[in-house]
Amino acid sequence: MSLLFRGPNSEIVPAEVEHAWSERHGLIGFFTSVDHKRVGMRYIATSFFFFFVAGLLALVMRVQLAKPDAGVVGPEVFNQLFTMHGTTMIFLFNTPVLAGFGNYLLPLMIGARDVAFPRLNAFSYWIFLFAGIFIYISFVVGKAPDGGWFAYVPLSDKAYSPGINMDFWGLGVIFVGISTTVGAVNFVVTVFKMRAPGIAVNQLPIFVWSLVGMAFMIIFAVPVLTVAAGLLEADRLFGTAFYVPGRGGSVLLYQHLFWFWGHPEVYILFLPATGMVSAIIPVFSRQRLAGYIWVASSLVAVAFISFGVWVHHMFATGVPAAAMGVFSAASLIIVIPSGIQYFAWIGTMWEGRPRLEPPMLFALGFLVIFLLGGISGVMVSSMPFDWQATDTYFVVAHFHYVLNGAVVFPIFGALYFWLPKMTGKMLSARLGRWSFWIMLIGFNVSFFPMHILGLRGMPRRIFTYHPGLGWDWLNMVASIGGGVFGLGTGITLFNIFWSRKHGAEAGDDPWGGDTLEWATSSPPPDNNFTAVPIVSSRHPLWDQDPLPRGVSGPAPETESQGLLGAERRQTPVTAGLDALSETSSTVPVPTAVPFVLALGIAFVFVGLLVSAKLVMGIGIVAGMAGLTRWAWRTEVDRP
Amino acid sequence: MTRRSREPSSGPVRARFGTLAGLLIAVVGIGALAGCGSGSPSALDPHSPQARRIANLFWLMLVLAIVIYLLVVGMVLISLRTRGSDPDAHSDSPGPERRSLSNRFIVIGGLAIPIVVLSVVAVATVSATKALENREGAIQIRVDAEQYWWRLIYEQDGVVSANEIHVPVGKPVVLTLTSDNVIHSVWVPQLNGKVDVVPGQTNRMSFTAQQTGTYRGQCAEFCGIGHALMAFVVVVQSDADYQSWLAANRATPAAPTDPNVVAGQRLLVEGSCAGCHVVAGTAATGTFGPDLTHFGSRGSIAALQLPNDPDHLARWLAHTQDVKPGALMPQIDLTQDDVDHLVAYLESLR
Repeated sequence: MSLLFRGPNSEIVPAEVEHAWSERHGLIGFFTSVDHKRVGMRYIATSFFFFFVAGLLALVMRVQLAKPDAGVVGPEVFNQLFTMHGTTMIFLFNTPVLAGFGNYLLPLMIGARDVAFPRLNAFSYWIFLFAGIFIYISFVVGKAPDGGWFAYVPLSDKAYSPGINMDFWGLGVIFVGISTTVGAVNFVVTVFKMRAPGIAVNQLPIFVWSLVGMAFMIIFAVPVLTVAAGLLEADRLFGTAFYVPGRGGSVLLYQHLFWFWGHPEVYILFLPATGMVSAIIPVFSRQRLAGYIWVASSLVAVAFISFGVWVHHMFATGVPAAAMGVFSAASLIIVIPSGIQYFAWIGTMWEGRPRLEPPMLFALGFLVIFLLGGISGVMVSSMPFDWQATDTYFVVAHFHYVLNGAVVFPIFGALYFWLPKMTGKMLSARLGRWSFWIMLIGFNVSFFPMHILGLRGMPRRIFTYHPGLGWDWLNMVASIGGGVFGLGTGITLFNIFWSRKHGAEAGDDPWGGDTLEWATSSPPPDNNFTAVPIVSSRHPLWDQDPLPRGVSGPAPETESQGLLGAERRQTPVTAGLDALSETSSTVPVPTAVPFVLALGIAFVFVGLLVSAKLVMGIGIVAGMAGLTRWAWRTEVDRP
Repeated sequence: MTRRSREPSSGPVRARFGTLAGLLIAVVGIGALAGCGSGSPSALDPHSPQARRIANLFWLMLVLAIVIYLLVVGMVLISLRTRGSDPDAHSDSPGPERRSLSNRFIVIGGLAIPIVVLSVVAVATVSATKALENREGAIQIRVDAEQYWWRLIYEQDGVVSANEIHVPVGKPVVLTLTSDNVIHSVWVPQLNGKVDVVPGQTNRMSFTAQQTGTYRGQCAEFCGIGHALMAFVVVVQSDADYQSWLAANRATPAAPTDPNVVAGQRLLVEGSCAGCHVVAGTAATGTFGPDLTHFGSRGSIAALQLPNDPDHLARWLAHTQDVKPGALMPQIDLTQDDVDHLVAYLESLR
């Protein structure tokens, strides 16, 4: 029962349309593409590269911690390992991989031919790539950040971290933040303005809702991280004293700023992951999502409440108890929207006929893991218990259940679900099942014992421990589990390469999906839809058979909707909650300008890092040239 | 609308999920319990009313957690039960949403039950927080967190020590926590939750040890290279033992007579040691490192890295950076004789 509704690819693309959307060839094509699908694929591929690198860093740590008093790595290296593991997973894997899926799927799901700002989109990817390279150069030169991924002052100040190590971190997160913010703005405008005619807000796929929630959180949270890291770098590079006690600065100011971003960030990662689950479970249950309005409202509620919980990372810093109570309460309340979503998923499966294909297995793995991570989250939101648990392996266990279990499992599910759409090839279901079960077992064997380690007094971020503290065998078990988990992820990686050659043809709609991405070919043509779908249902592919397509009319509102619009590189712009036709917008042609601008910015950051005015100058000139060219060019340019 | 017939069956996948969930639950209780009495500085092996209060809060939450986890995973498994579905996939069209049913699921499972459970947790939290709020005490000890050791100052009693917090049993103790370097965190799981030591502010932590004994603590906030090796102990003594410890630590050690010890003293006072260490009654007055006036009476070296005996002390002096990478005490070139003399002197400081 591995195949449900596979049929041949059906999107017909006339030669004129194909020509209008053609990319440049070869290397030039690589640097000039602004197509959201190519950008999305690059995001996903680059993020997964970083995922496996950061996973290897974690395995080295687990080898070191498997036995007491081990000498595999010393404290200098170990501190670099955990700093880079956290930094990579948060900034270079979790956030961008979700941006990648969003990039690829969002226009398809809303029946658009591209995102609102395709060049900005390409720019956002190049910035992410350069920031990733920037941060990883630190390893090459042997000066990787070593002050923790959270870079608490004063330890990360010049006085206690005199090397260039923490500058890689401070400048790197500012750098990558540009990409995240730009991408978020693009998502918001795309969802608000680029929906195909008729997709009212209450007909948006839940995954799209989750991306909008994520994007708004990014827009409000990431600038605060930029401030936190910016002031840190000002202290480090220019000798200001924002965080220096005794010179008018405050150590806790940094923590407030950092966690004002840091806690919403958890939900920035988590929201799209739940959106993926809300996309997968209905399709494989053959049942409409229960409580659509409840789920959509929950996503919005989470996005708001997530800004009121940050102090729960600081319960042990001596903040007055009365003030902490508010944050403790908010941390409890945020459980409720997640509970609502959870029971919407159970209700959907309850009413449906679940099929245990790999995407569904990963969604189910998410359910059992996230439940545990959520429960331990309630525990640590209780201040007195948090005083024992914070900065111990209990918290390490908790947030890996949330950020690894409840985010990575949906992402793997999404790979099995949507990669056939992106490549046209099915992944092996057999390998998928092996990968899932090995990951699920490895994950729990690795991270569950960490709860007990924390309760038994093992702090985080220690490179070694002495025997006889009751930590030995639990650490050994955790390390073995880590290896097993790594093996499970490796099977999926192998599966991806295997499927490119040996995978069965996916066709338009291998799973019997309900949303618009399944209405076009796999992989979709460059123009996505030759004529855009006209939607009147929450589940267009289930309810609208045949799916009506737009016809180009003479007026600008409808010009883009049919074949003529595709020939003219147009995509519809709609207005209001009900997505009424408003006008047509032209999708920009391929251009290297975003690449040049991003490269210029990269030079500026490298210049700041090594205090080289010349490098900065080159960067500024290149960036200004790119910006000028960008502004000069009108959207009706033709290749 | 009539209910569809349900034919519960236990597929292998469902069984595997069930086994896994069961195992998880079994492991949490047993594993955490086993922490007691295994030599672990376990938060679930409390020896003060404060730690006991938190442990009780944990047990309450754990019981709730297990009940909720089993209930919800049970519902997930039931929802997976196979039904007599049409074998022909193409006719397997998606069913309509039954609003009343999904609302019931969401309102009961997602709204009502969490609100009840969270209210219980909230009440327990508030009551435990109030109980732990009192930070007054008979015994006041100042703890200055250094990289990577603990300076202890008994201001009322004129005692300065390091890494070994002596307190009398049954008396409320308040630690006043300051740091002039980076953030650290004081944590003795068996006595209370942790409190960060934040530069620029003074935090307080209190506990009342109920039993004599030695309780291990460790820095819990990442503080640099030596973070993992920044441990300490709380030594809980009877009141009489505590008083005699105070008296001994107030006294200035007598001038040495043994020639080895005298040679060691000269090395320490005239060498680079004196720049960072105090030995009362001598010219060694540096305060960057730990006070060594009563070094010989302490149980361990270098914040719990080595037991305090001549062999280990010799190793510490000769291989400082191997024993404790990142220690701010530099590796000093010493001959074997120098080491022997220093060991003799330091161990005589009781």
